[in-house]
Amino acid sequence: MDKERTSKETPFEAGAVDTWLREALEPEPGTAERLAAGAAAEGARTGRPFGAGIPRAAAAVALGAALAGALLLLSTQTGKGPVPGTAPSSPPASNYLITNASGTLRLVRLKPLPAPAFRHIAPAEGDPCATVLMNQGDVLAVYDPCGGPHVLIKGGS
Amino acid sequence: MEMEATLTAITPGLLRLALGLTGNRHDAEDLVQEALASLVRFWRTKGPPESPAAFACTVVRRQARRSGERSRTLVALDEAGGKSDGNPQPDDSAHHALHLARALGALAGLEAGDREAILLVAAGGLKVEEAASVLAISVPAFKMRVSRARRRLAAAMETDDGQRTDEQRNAV
Repeated sequence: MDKERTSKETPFEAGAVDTWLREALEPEPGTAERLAAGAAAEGARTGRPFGAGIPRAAAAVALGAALAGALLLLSTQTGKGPVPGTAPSSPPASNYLITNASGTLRLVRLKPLPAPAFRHIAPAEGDPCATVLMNQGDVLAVYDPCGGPHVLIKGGS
Repeated sequence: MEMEATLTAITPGLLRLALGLTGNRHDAEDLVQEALASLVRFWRTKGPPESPAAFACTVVRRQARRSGERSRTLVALDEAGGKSDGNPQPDDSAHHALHLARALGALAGLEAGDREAILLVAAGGLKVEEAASVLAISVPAFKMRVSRARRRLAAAMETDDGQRTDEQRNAV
């Protein structure tokens, strides 16, 4: 830190301000580890389609079901779904309001990605249900270990 | 250089930087996820960059600027979703939420260039030379920005400390 101070600052001022700022912006516990592990897994994967932190077999089964449900839901909302056999289009990032099995509303912002990617939504306080979203192209799937229906409302880009 | 260890080491700083730039934990996570993905892609194809932290910070800063243009839309949706960024959240401790809100408020009062400068060194953990290169400015110019930002933030910090003392006194 010494190198980062300017000549007009006392060590106390520079160090105290930086510490105050760093503590205020401290990430929530586990977030950094989860993101780093996900990126590392992506870097090391060899055809592995899923993110880290989810048992592969369980995620495959759940995502299969969730993908079908999400496709159906999106199809009914928009009146048209992805046409089988065609390449997905590249829509801009969109906001989604979702509920999980506990009925907790979440806002997520997703961008279309060239490969499947997970976004893990941590449960709110007192909510046992974590939610995992996956998006690829214009396909969105929701995985909730508690099951149950989801409400997906696509918002503005 | 070990990629996994590097990712683990730089991610907390990236999250702090992204939160300081966006004021929103969800957006911050998105930005960091994108930055880490970019870093991993680069690493796999061209080997490790000279400074992985500076590389990822550059991506975060660029994406934050882009996402800032869409912030008005997000505010309405955040309110609809029960989120009000920068304010205390139910899953944060009250103390930390207040600390965060005050810091974000103080950061919002800074010039954009000053805000980026202080965040790159204090939150992102970059060295002065690395941070100056991220902003594409000279080291002396960068130090001026950081100094200016620290002076402004010091005033906010004193207010924060004063209010905390008052709260503690009232609690007793």
